[in-house]
Amino acid sequence: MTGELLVVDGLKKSYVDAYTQEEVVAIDGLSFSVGEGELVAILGPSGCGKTTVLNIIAGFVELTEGSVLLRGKPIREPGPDRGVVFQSFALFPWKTVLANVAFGLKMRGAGRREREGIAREYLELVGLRGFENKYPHELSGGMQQRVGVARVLANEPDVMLMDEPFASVDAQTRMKLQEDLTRIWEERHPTIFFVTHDVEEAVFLSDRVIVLTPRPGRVRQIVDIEIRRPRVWRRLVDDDSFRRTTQDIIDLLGEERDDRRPVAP
Amino acid sequence: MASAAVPARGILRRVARSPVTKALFPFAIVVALWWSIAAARVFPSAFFVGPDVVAAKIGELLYKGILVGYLRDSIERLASGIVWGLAVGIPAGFLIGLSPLARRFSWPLLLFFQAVGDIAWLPILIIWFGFSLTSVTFVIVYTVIFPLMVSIVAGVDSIPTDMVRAARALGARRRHVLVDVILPGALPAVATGIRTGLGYGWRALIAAEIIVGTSGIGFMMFDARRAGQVTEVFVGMIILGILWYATDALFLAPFERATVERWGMVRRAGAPV
Repeated sequence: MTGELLVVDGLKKSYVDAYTQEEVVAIDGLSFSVGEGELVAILGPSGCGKTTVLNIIAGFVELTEGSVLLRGKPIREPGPDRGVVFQSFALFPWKTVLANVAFGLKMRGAGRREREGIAREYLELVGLRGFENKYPHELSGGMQQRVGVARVLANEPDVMLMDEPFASVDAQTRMKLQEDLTRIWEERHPTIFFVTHDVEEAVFLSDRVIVLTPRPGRVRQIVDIEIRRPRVWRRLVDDDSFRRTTQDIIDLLGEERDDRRPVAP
Repeated sequence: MASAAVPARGILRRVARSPVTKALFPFAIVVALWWSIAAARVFPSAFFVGPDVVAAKIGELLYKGILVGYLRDSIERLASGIVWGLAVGIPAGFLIGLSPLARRFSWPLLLFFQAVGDIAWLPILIIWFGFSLTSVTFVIVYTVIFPLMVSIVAGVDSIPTDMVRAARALGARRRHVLVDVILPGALPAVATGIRTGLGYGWRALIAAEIIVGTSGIGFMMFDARRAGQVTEVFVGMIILGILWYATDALFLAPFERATVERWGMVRRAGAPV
């Protein structure tokens, strides 16, 4: 495991439910690692704690037990080495598209010319050239999320954390965004940790898929995705290995429904 | 003939579509209605006068200089109350919004003093400060700061967690988050708070002038009532409406258009659909 960029070892997260005053175990002993330049998805049914894993890596939430190391150092608080792309986009509505993308560089003290130059470059990368001076509300959801991705990439983090980033756009746009994300990844190989509940999305994008069990989240299986790149939906919908892998993972998720612990009354 | 009619119709259409015409049109209807009721003498003229009489009275009062003097007094009092109200209310609102300690301490007090309405302070203020600008200013400040503070606290609370987290994950330190996320993020609430506060402050001013007054629009109206001068009461009511309309058109609306509306964070109340 040494030499891996991000190492999660024996991660446990529990909290006290505010209403019942009972201890709830959200994640129960999770271990995996993400290598430099890898695209890894974490997949599981809702409530399995996958977003909590991301929040812990991002430094938004404290872990209960175990360790999360980035380049060998434990995570203490949020930082620019771990940029986050949110399902809600979380763009700053009072800033232009350009200023949104340049925000991280501004926070780190880059001069206006430098940061705007870099921001333009990344806007071009995500296909938003010409939209620099728009405000986020003037853009469609898909375009807003492109800004969200550019905003993180412009900051050149060690890892880009993506929390169901394409869940709130329409199906057509989602497929385009997925294809564009793989294109960007193939060009630049940023390390990406991708949270999703969509099996096809996980298989389409990833090198590896971490399949979780329902709450409390544990690793069910880590599946290597051997489908050749570049990946485009037009080719993959009829691709045997894509369909087989997808079905295998759906089966993995299905099994859990049988041995799931009964829900507390 | 036919060729001359086209541009004439074009001008008419342009006039009909101009924003000034659109803004004045509803008032024209109300004034016409008012005028017809007065002309039909439904009510005796000692109780109800028409727009022509009121317009003549406004002209007369303007000519005598009384109206301008009273107007200046009222606006001066309001301005001083508003400035102090904003200077106290905005920082206090953010303090209570951001500091859990400040919130725990001040929330019960806020509720208590909000219940002791503005006018309820006047008796003790008159004992302390007499019929002075201080008394009036105090009442206006008092009226302005409560809706302002409550609105700002709600605004700070309504900033999405993800937005603060996004900033932190992009390298923003805590003080950056305050300046770059919390302050602009709460601006719609600040704008609403100022709008509500100003509206309440304006009403408090008129009420204070009726009680404390030696001059001002509120004083003029109440004084006219004592003398049975219905026309002057009407004049006062119309002036109040015009002034609020002007405040909105000159200060509030342009500020909101340039900020929160441009950013798509709010849609102006009453904006055309």
